[in-house]
Amino acid sequence: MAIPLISDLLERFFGPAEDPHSRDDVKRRLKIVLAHDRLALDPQTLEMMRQEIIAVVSRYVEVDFDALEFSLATDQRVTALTANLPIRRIRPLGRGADQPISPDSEAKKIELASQSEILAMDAEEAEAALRRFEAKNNAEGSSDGQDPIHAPLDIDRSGLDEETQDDNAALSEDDVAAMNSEAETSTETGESGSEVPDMSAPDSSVSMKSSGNTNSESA
Amino acid sequence: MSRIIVMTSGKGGVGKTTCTANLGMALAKAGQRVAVVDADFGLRNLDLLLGLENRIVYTALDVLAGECRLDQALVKDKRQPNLALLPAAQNRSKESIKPEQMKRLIKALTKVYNFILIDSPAGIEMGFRNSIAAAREAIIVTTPEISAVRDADRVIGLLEANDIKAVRLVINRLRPAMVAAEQMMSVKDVQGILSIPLLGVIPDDEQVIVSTNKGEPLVLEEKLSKAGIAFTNVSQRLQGEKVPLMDLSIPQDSFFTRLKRLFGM
Ligand SMILES: Nc1ncnc2c1ncn2[C@@H]1O[C@H](COP(=O)(O)OP(=O)(O)O)[C@@H](O)[C@H]1O
Ligand SMILES: [Mg+2]
Repeated sequence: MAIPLISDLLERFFGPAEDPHSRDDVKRRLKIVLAHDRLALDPQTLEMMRQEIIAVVSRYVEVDFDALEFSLATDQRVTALTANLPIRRIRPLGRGADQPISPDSEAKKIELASQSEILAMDAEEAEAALRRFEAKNNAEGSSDGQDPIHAPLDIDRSGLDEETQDDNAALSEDDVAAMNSEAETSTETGESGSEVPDMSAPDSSVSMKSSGNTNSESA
Repeated sequence: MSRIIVMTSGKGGVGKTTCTANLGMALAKAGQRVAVVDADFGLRNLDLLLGLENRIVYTALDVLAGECRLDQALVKDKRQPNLALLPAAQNRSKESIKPEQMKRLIKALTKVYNFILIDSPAGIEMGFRNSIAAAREAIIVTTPEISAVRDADRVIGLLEANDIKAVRLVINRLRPAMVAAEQMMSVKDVQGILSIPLLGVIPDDEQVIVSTNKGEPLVLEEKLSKAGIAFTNVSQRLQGEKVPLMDLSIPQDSFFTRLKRLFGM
């Protein structure tokens, strides 16, 4: 018999010192994944449902967006959707609903806007450059009474808007993924550019990740 | 009326074929007339586990093609004349047979046999659909592992959707020591999660491999191993007997058994 190591001896005597709770872990994971499997609802639909529920509830009460929870649980082969929406306060009469934080639609808004937005930004940048150029000219050369404010470039956006709507109709998962990365780049462009309205949504990006987890688990 | 039971799991390698061979043999031993049907076309194994591989002349496909009669394709077991195997074709794919054809074969078998066990292939595609086409009952075989239980759950849903209502559970390869150490889901955990009636629990047992090597199901041994007893119990419950679950809990280690183990004795 080979001489066993001390740790070997200890293990043989006291039993293996492995993670004692893996049984609970696996039960928890299994229950979640089964709840999703059994419902057979695709993650997009689930997300849509989530957003609509928040929207409806937000009409009446102010929801704590940071603390809300949606989960699927299953018992006796019956699946239940549980929504936990902590309420900050009842909405004062006459005040409209807050925009519910909806990471997906937020992301889509960014993506969908990106094409036309980029063009618009290009135009704005071009405009700004033109102004700078003119200002420089005016300062250097003798100002001969030229109007310092250049007429804005005339850009027809209507066509662009239609195009983005078509994109929307033909969204496939790959498109969404591709556009997500696109959205990131356009957000960056937006920071260097001047007038992109509030595209950073730090909170929503967190919940986006959690919904992504759900996707991969139920896929 | 004959009992037509499909053994299925979703996931491969959890013990469907082992269960089919042992249950088939145990039922035959108990005097039932049993046909075991290999529905795993292209990856047949049931013949090996029963030690009948050298006696196959025709397969189910030959019967369907009209090249032989059904009784010519059936391989009768010499040790246990109540048992017959309907072999699958090994050189053909699962798509080479349709659910309707499977139904015709099984229907014909019901004239002679009162238990028909169908060994389903892994997956939920064509081979699975063939194997459940004629079944009226199902035995879900799973191990206490997350992936196997998940797949089992999926299959239970599909069986329900196909109007197979008598669905019961066999938990295979249970390791009581791991359950005691909280490292494996218990029988209660798995059964509670799947929520179907429990038909039996088979411990993980080295003897299963030994019996596979010999081509001799465990239930034929003179002195039954733990798994052999468990399979026999399942077959008795299938026949309507009330047999309590085997006590698989490991005896609490005494100081001396620990000492013995310490010195490798
Ligand atoms: N209770 C058990 N204890 C030990 N090994 C087992 C047990 N049940 C099955 N096995 C082994 O697991 C493997 C897969 O079994 P098999 O019956 O072929 O599964 P399936 O038909 O579901 O693919 C085989 O090698 C078999 O010997
Ligand atoms: Mg098999």
